[in-house]
Amino acid sequence: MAPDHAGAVLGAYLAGELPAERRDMVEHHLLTCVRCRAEVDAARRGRAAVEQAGEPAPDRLRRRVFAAIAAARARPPDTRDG
Amino acid sequence: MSDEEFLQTVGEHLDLVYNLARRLSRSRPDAEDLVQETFLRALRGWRRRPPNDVRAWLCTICLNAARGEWRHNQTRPAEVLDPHAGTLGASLHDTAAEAIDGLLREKVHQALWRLPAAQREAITLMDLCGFTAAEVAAMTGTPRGTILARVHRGHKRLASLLQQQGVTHGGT
Repeated sequence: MAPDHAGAVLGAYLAGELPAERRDMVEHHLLTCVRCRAEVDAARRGRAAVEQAGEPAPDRLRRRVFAAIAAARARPPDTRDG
Repeated sequence: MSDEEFLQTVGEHLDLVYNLARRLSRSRPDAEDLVQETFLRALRGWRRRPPNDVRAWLCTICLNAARGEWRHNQTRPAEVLDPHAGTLGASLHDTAAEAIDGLLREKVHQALWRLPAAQREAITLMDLCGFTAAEVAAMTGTPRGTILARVHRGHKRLASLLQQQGVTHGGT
């Protein structure tokens, strides 16, 4: 497989987006391929880190955005492209 | 639909847009500007035609705003002063954010910024915004396989970068 295709397959596997049959094939391959298993382990660590980086919007931002929307609503609709 | 419905509908997606904007902006103040610009553009779009998929619509507006030149062309959102904000507003993180490990989050943020923009964008849309690869592909006009490959490469690179900093599996 070309590297990008292999990456796409392993990416789909980790995202839970592979059909069952292909998922089973990947898992079977991972039993014997040290290199792919290391890739999958590393990608899992990377994803876990990203998922922990999520944060709620600050309250002050919520107030600021709603104030900006209120101010915009007080003006007549414009014709600029969004 | 009315502006009231707009507020009700989009308001619940502020965290989603903020997390995307945060990953598209180097600093928190820039991210907050981008969020405001996104919602003001969304209001204009809503008045023309409310979307079917609000989440994808908002994120697409945010992506387009981040790619645009609004910061430099003085389409910067009009300043709306927050009467509740202190003078240190932008540097005061709210308590919920502080409750999570801020140091780790900052390390991950810095590591994400060492990835190519396309990888950072795809990772954010899938991991933090919860879109499928097909949805990200549609939003960005990129083949699904390319999105998945970018995310996979980005994850591996992130793990390597964080390991170099002594951060393993999201812990310090």
